[in-house]
Amino acid sequence: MPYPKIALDGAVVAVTGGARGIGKATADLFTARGAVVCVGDLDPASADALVVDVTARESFGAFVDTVIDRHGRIDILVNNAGVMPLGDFLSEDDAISRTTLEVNVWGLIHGMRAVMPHMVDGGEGMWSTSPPWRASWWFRGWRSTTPVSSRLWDCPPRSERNTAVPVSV
Amino acid sequence: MPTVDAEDVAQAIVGSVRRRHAEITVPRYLAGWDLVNAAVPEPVMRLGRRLIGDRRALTSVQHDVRAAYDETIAAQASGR
Repeated sequence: MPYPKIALDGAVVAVTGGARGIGKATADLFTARGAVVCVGDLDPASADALVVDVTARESFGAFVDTVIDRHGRIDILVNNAGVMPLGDFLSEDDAISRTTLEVNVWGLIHGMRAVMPHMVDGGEGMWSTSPPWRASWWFRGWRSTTPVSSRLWDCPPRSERNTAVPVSV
Repeated sequence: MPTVDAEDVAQAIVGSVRRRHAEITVPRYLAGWDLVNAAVPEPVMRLGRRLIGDRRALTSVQHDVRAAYDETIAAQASGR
């Protein structure tokens, strides 16, 4: 079954970690293509951005609720928020490692669970889990979470995947 | 060392709306990495990685830029 088409013009896009870096570049590009972009970030740089802590399910849920209240739906979730500490594996502080796992893995899971049911109800949608950029394969901070996060797209049941489309960048 | 700009990843993400490949590698030439990793014997891979200097990503960072980012993560991590 072919994936449903999503027109960028007018698509409602939620971008986590969208205040800077890749998240901001992605939000800007979606905006330039005519999409309605909602940025969420732990530290929002602009007044338009919403505060979201992707490590907390309630916080992610509140972000999603706000976007749906404002725009009626979410067509695309860019699960971008991620951290990349460059510590030595054996000596890295547990709190830093824990944060990496909570943001880079749990952040994506929270996002999928919060957004996908709306996509399934709405009939179409896609989510994009972008943290495991393979380009950074040699960065240890990422490599520790990449094997998990890059395969999360394959976890939801196929019946739901027919409408909600997974992409891992 | 070649690096990828935020705009390159953004292009790949926005482009994925049309193409819908489940996994996209940026830059593209690294897409074959898993195959290479599976096919090439480990000692050869280790030697190859040492020759191309794969630890440069850890050792040749811009420390002033990096320090600000590390502080942000440390602030987020405090109390976890």
